[in-house]
Amino acid sequence: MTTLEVHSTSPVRRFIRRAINTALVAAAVATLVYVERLSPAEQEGAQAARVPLAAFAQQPAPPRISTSWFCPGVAAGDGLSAGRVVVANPTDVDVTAAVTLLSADGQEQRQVVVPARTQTSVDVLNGRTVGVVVPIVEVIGALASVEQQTEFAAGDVTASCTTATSSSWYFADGITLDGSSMRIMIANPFPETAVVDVAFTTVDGRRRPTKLQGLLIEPRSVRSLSMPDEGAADEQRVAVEVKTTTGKIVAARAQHYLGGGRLGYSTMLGVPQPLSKWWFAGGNTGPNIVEQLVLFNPGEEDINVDAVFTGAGLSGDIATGVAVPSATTSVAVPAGEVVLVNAGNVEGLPEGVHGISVSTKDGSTFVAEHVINQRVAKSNFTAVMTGVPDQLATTTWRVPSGVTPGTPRALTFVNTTVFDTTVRVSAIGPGGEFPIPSLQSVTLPASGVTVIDMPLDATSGELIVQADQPIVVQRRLSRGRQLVGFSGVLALPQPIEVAR
Amino acid sequence: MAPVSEGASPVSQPVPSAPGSSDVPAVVAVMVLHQPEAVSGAVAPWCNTSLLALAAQDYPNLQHLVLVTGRQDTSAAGPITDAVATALPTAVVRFLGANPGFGPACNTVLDLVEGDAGFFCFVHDDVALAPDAITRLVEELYRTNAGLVGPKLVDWDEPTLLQHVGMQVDRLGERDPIVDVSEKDQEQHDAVRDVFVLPTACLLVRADLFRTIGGFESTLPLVGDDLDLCWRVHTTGARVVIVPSAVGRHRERISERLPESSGDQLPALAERERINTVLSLTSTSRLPLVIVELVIFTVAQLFIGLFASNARRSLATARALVAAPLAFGDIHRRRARVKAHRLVGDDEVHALQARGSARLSVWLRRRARTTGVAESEANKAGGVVATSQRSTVLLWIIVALGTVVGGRSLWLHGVEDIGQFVRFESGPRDLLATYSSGWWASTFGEVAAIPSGIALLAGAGVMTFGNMGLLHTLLVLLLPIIGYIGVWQFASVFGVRRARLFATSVYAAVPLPYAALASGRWSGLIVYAALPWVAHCARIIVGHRATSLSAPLDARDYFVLTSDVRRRRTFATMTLITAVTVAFEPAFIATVGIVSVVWFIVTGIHGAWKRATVWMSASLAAVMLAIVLHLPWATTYVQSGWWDKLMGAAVPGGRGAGLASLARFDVGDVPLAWLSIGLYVPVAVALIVVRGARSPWALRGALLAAVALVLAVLDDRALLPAHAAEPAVMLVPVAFGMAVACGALGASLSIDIRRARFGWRQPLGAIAGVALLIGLLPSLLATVNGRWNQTRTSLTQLLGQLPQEGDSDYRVMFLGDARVLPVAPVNLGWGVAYGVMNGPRPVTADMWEPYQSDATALAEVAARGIVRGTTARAGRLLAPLGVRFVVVPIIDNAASRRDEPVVAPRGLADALASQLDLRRRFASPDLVIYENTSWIPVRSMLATNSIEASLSGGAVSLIATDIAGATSILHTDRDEQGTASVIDAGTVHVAVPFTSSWNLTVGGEPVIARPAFGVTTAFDVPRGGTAVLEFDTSFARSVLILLQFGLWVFVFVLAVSRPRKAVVMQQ
Repeated sequence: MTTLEVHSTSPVRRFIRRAINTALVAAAVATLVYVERLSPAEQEGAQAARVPLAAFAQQPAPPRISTSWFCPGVAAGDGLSAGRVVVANPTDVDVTAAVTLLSADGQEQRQVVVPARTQTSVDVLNGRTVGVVVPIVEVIGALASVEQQTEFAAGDVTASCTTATSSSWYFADGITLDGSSMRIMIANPFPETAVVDVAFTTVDGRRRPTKLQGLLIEPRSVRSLSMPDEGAADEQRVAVEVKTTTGKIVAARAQHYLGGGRLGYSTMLGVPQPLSKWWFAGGNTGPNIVEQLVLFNPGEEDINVDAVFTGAGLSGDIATGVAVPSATTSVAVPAGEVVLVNAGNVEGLPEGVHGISVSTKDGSTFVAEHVINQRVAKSNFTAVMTGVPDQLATTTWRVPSGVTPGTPRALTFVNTTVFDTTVRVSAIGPGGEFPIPSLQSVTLPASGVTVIDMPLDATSGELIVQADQPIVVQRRLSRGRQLVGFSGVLALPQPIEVAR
Repeated sequence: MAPVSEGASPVSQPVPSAPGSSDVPAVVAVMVLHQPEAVSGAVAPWCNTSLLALAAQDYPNLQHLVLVTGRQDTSAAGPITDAVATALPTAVVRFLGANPGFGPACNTVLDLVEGDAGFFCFVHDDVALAPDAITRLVEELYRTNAGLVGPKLVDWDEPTLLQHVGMQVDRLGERDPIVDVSEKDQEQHDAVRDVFVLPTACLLVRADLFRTIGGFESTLPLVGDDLDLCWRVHTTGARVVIVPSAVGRHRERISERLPESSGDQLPALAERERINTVLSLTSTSRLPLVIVELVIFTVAQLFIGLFASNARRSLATARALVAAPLAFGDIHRRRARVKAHRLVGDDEVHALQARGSARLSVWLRRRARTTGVAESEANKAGGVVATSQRSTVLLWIIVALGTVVGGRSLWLHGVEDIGQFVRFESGPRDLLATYSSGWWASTFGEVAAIPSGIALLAGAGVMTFGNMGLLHTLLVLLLPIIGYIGVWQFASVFGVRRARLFATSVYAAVPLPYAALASGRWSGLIVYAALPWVAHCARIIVGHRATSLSAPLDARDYFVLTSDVRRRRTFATMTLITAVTVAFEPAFIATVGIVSVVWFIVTGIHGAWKRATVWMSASLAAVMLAIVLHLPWATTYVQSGWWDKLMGAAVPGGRGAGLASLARFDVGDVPLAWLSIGLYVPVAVALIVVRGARSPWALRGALLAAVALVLAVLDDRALLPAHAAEPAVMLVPVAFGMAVACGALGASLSIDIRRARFGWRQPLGAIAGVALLIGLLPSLLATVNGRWNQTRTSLTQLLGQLPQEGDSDYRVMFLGDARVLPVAPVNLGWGVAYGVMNGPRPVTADMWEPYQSDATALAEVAARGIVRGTTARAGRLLAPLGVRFVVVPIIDNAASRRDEPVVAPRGLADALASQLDLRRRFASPDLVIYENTSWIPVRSMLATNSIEASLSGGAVSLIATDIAGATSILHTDRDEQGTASVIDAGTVHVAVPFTSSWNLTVGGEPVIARPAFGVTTAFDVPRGGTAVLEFDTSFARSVLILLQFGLWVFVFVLAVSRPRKAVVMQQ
């Protein structure tokens, strides 16, 4: 082997080489120190995709593979004449939907195809005369939406459906006086048994009947609780809490009002979680109108709730960004109790429509419902609404089952900000989405309320309401059957899309 | 002894009695004179010398018999007859007609000579005995009452060099020749003593004994006759004694006298005869144990031989062992023959044999001698402190003990199947069948090139005779020691033993391999074993010379011109190691890249840019060739997601282990791992202290360690543009760099500091030594529990709750952090990865990154749907893929332990709980198992309601229809084997990506395959009958495999071939 000297060397060169190499090592060490001082990134996991307040009725943000809509359910044994789900397809392609009907007997499934830009109703009773049926509708994608409609002698009801289940559900309002029926329908759409605890609160306080603790809800089945039969008979106020110790469920309330100054029928999903601020759009005071806010504090601490009424005659301070209402009230709600606020007693609140926000200053959470009892001629009716969480007050709302053209006072808009805005209403017709000409610049003043009539040139298809500022949209629906009054239902908020 | 019988056979003349011979026993000196047919003219000069030496013997009663291996009627016969007549006028000359071999030729004396009272002295024709040799032999034979004696043999040309003083032989027939090559005769071996074997060059044997045992074994004409004869002598209770006072010069150049082809075959022939002799002469009671030992030693030698310098002999041994059963008849005959005259028990014979392994003893002795010579030369030149060989032996004893003791429980009970230590469930035949089929059953299956690692595992399985459990244990527990040896080899660049001790100690001291053993990171272990070897090969190719001869102030590199042959061989070896490693851990390429780039820079900075480029080019070429060796499998990397396939799944946001954890190699459970930070002290000291040609190496090591650690830390924080491999792999260059730097320090301590006056360097050296000792502690502590801290409860055991036999035609999807998935993970993003396994437990194939297909795309859609909450019907999406269970592993007791858990991705449990088709079947802190209630078996008959849905694809057909209710049919554990059963009419669904390579025949009629659910494969069966489902392997696939095999063999032969050496036999 021959040894080769590859280069000559000198002290200077040697020093330079050594310096360069040592500098490289030193740079590496310095990099280590620098990197170590940086804060480590936190992994998102599946948490990042979690939709805030997912169990509240809302239009999910695309893209989605499929959307499961959980509807409140219909109690066939209570005298319903019909029950159906309405699937609205605003897209340009047909949508296949799978309708699963959960009942105490198990489940059955059917497929429907919803043609482009149309709505399709699916009967959920299917000839059934007894028992509770809870429909679940799977639609491909995210843009189709689903509502539930029931026909009842005391008034037809349209109810929102939700796209997520929850481990807790709350109902602030309820009455079982004078033969009024109150039914809690609990559906377990999952393939494993759910274990449920039910508690209710009356004027006598909160009660947790033993037989309502650890209720087993079989997989993919429904359980119905008639509150009068469960120990809450002849109660002026019945607030209900449904919580699971295992699994997630969907809980709804079917209420037939026959006494206590109320008359009518309602079916609606519960509130999946108590929050610190709620919006209501259908406030109205005047002669023969009894407007109540039902505040339920399911927590363990007493809270103070402020009710702020906004709308005509009320103002806001744009400069500070804080509404300065002229009609407010504050009320203490003890832990585990229900408190009623009668809007007619609120000082400074003018007659007419208004919006309402109820909130706590310290962030304490509670549940609120809004009840209007109105006497019309010789009859009266009751309309009950759940609130819109403050976070769901948004700029786009959808009305899946639409509104009959020519319906007066069909939509109520509440501006939740202190900035003026305009509202535009579009509809889905046979040719696709088109703007309703007369509803393209509906003025909605800061913190104001605007009620519009549905023009005759509109369609009965799905409506899309858009505003420049976050608003709350409520529909007024006829009770049908020549009955006086109306029922109300919130439109579906469509939160600002989250990139997925 | 009676004169030669006239009537026995035609001899030219009788053997006369010597005058005055009546008072001493007769000795018949038998010389076998070999004269090749082609040779004519005068006899070889050495023959004349040998004949004259025989004639000069002073023994009074000596008769001469010359046996000529040729015909009397040839031209060569005349000169021979003349030469014998001239030298030994009284000798009897007998032409044997042909060359039967030395032993059989000698056996003719049994017929030619009558009487048993005297002795036979068999002599080669290239042995020149001293005049008193036979007298000494006879005297000593009487004195020691021996049966067989032989003289001390010295070199023909240089009589001061010893050649043979007998040989020791172990129980496997391996020889220890007692004297070394070119050992000077200083009377150090001049004591008369018993030996097991004497070379046949000159033997004096009692005539009666020779006749009793039947002479030489007639089937051993060329080699092995000495072992056979001496062993059979021992079985009679007679002694075999070396008589050093009798001296003979021996020319011993058999290869020159044989045809070239015969010379080439001598090593293989010697191995075959050795093994056959052992099997023939070992007693029946001891034979089973000896056979087991033969097998173990042969396999071990083969493993070592492939990586060392004697692959040819190792292969010859293996071939001989495999071929031994073919010689059953011959062995049986020889056993019967020795049984007839066996007088002593085998225990007594065994007691005469060498303990342990003679081959190992010889190897160690020669190795030590070579090293000693090298150090001696270095010592002369540079005043190097020669570290005693005792230190080397001590190091390797400690390393071996550590390997055995640290994993004692694992050696006995096998390695737990944690992390990547998935047990090999298939034997070599099944693995080969998988490899050759072209059907990759992993994940959802795919018609694709099978990973070459499967074929390599099959080959390795053959070496353990199909014992895959043993192979599994060896392939886990032996990897660290292969790494140590690699560093030892690499550190030869320092030229002093202390440097090798330092480097090897540090490489063994870093907790990385033990942490990898504890956490089941096979990839880390493989890279740990391979990287030093590849670097060593690259170093030879670059031509770095030993640094011990440089002056202390000469801070530069020296290079040597390596021969083309050696470079080619080394490059082939480097390619082979790279290819084998890449077959199991593709990220090895990255570590080789880091080493070559860093050392390219350092070498370049030291002025040798041309040589520096060789670091890059050699590494690049080896990697490229390794990729070629992996064709067609390598083509699977040419697709999107190739980086993930290369480096493994990313952990978005980084792993977050932190600098401290990475710096102490904490990728698993090693007690007091933080103490290993002490190992960085000698690295830093090396940077300051080391001088001379060691200096570049100190810088190379330190910079490699620093850069690799920086990369690992940057990846840990997800700050690199593309993610790197897991820390167990990325930290190997750190460990190797530290070892190299410490090797340089060790060399410097031996060369520079010793000669320097006392100054600041000596205390620094002492500090480095103390730090090194402290850094050793974690590794020592890791040996305490005997399992390398491996858990006894693995995730696979917990998966035992999944339905096992009979109902296992399903798949399992793992969802969670990539670090805890027991199969190769696929990154989904957001810190979540998924992996799929077939059946209830992971298998070897699940360790490879899955191929992309429509099925994996659908699985990813479903998994993303779960993670992102974009569907509540992921179960239905997974149903046609046969996914029955979705498992979230949390604690695998490897990467994630109870005391240091890898937390499951946030919100994943909630996301899974929102799925409408997933039923929670088991939940514990270790894992959560969900069952997909919509699943259908992998091979099934679809329910009526889902047949229509199967005709279309996409979410519409999958989500809007519940396809549950299919019945399992045609179940098999191995896809490519095919399966058959009786089925009814209906739609047969196979949950594999649609392919026409799967053929179904029902009642002998083929059924056309169609896509199902837009992804999978279905067959609409019009009538029931016996259904046969099988995979059709393409012809092209078979051709490609043959080509690939040929390529591997070519590179292998290049790597193991050695320059032909003269075969030296003691003939």
